[in-house]
Amino acid sequence: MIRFENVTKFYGETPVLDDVTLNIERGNQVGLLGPGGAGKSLLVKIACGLVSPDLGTVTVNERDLGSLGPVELAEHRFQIGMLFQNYALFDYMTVGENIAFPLRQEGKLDELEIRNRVEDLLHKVDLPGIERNFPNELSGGMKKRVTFARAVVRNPDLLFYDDPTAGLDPVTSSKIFNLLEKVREDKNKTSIVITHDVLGVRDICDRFIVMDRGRILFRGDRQAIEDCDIKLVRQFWEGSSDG
Amino acid sequence: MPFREVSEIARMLLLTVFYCVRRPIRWSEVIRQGYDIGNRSLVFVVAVLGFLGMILIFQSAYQAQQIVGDLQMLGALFLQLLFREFAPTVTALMIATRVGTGIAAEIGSMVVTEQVDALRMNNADPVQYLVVPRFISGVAMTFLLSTLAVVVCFLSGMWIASVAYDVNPSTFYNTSMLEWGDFIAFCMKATAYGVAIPVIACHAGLSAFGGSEGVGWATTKSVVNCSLAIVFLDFLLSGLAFVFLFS
Amino acid sequence: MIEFHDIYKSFGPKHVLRGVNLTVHKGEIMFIIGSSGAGKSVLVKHLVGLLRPDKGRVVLDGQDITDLTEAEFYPVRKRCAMVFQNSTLFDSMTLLDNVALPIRKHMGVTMSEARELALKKLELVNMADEATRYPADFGDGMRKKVAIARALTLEPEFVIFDEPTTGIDPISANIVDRLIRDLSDRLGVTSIVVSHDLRSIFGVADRVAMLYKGEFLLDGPPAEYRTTDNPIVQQFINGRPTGPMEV
Repeated sequence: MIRFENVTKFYGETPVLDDVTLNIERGNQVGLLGPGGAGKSLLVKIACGLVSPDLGTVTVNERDLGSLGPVELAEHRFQIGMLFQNYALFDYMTVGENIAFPLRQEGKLDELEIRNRVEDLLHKVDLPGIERNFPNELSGGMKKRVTFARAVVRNPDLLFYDDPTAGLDPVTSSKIFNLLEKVREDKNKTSIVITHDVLGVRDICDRFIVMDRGRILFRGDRQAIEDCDIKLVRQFWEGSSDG
Repeated sequence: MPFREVSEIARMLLLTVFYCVRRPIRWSEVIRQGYDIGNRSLVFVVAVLGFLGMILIFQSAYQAQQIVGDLQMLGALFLQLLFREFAPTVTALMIATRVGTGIAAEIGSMVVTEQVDALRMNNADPVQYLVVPRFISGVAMTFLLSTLAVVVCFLSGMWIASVAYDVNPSTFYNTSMLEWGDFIAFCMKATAYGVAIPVIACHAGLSAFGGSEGVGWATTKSVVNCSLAIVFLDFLLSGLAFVFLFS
Repeated sequence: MIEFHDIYKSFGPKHVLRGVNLTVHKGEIMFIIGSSGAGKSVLVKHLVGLLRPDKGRVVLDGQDITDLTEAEFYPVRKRCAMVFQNSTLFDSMTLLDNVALPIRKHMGVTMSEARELALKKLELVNMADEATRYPADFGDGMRKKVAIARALTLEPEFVIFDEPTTGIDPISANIVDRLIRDLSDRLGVTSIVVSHDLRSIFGVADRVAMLYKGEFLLDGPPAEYRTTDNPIVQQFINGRPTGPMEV
């Protein structure tokens, strides 16, 4: 589904992604872990085609992103649902307009259908009736759920969640992870969850990847990560800094 | 402005014009932006140009009195100066500081909060979506505000001339020096500034990076680049006007 | 000892604190927990005078500090340091200079004296060996340690940490947690930690108070949170998505 081959990206002199080779299979939900600055967000942005790598190739759905023209690349991006770390809600639009934005851009549904879809989604994320509010009137947890709704509104097969629970209290966090879990029930969906919340993603991911300083340190399923004896991976999984 | 930046801005300008011609334009956004530009700069432009008109007339009348002793042509020359040079350029500098920074800050904060990425994920080109409406309303509003600047500046000059130097308003209002070339120069300058400010400000905003300090960096960059561009365009267009229009 | 007596605070129609009572003892690590928007940060800001209560008293070591003037608050702020959530370091300076800069500013000493003092602060957080390196060389946890060292500049008796482990990876979070414990054990610093990081709560807290709807639901040692039968506290501690808690 998604294949990175020898992907390298420099910011100035320092490589922020260093020769990353990685394959993510269709139908998997992958937990992407690692300390700040490890290159997790960048990896996902490269898979979106928002950033192009300096070296290496990225193939998504059998299509080499490097060979796509700007129009095809925009179409590729449009097939992806993305939950941004900083919410990325359009602050001059209401919540309803934000969630409807991808549908309006697509232009397939009429206004009534769009309105129904938005209302339905707001019910699903437990925030009914806030269509007319503006994002800056909402708390962090509410904004995250609105961003989630916008990411899934077109029912994409490929989903990236960039730190969906950062800064949220445990109850709100588990509400969000519950939503991710529901999306995952559809076995055709492939998704990547970037997070620090190891406890939260333990049970909802098929595979795990641990990155550090632009390199892949570990990849494997839950059994493998529990048995892994790389120090940093252990520390991450157990959330300790000992040793 | 280093060469790379100039070429980036030129590319963005071409793309903007391309989208203006090709794609549907969001007129509601154009109007909202236009209202915003007017709202932000109307009082500022009127106040600054009102006072500048008084200061300029007071000073130049004082000097003219000492050299020629005759203030008959004061208004006529002032009107010509306003059209050719003063009104569009000063207005553009005002708009660059008041509106250009606003555009750069707004778009810059959209970049650092990933809103621009969210647009790109949804098949909305930031140039088409953000730059085009600001571009169209920028051109229109620069034109309108420059015209207003001529009126305000001339009226305030007329008032100080009559109060301080006893020049009768009917003498001051004298269009005999105006020629078509002045109107053409006025239109060229207002249009050029109106094109340059929004594109340069949007470019600065879109090149923001990092956190909130990136937004500050983008606004500073916007003022500097806009001011440089205005002065450079003024120089260029004044030269052209003198060669082709007034000779 | 810090005492909050019956604190009320509203922002417009929003009643954030509705009669909060809390006592923090010397040398203790007190955690204030609760969902986002519960008013945790609002409460601690009363201690340093960044906010004033609508009703109620704040008492610091027997002195009522509720109605102090801004100038009278200065010595209080010297005793209570605050580590903000987004306390960032300057990337272009070494760790040592990052700490030395505020020392020089606040104490009016020369840069070399400031560096000497800064090195002592870095020793407190076990970062003295890395003093000449730059922030970019370190992860979030180490950078946070330096930010904490900077907060220790004026040798405060009380340190308020606003969500010190939010948004950083678990290993870094653990480093920060252990530092908070260490500062309390070695220097006798009293810490108030605003947090909703469950790991830290059970890792380092001496006492935990949970704020919900403007009042404290439970105030006691962490162990009590495991055994309580209050359904809201239980839901929070177990991070269950459904339950009686309104967020």
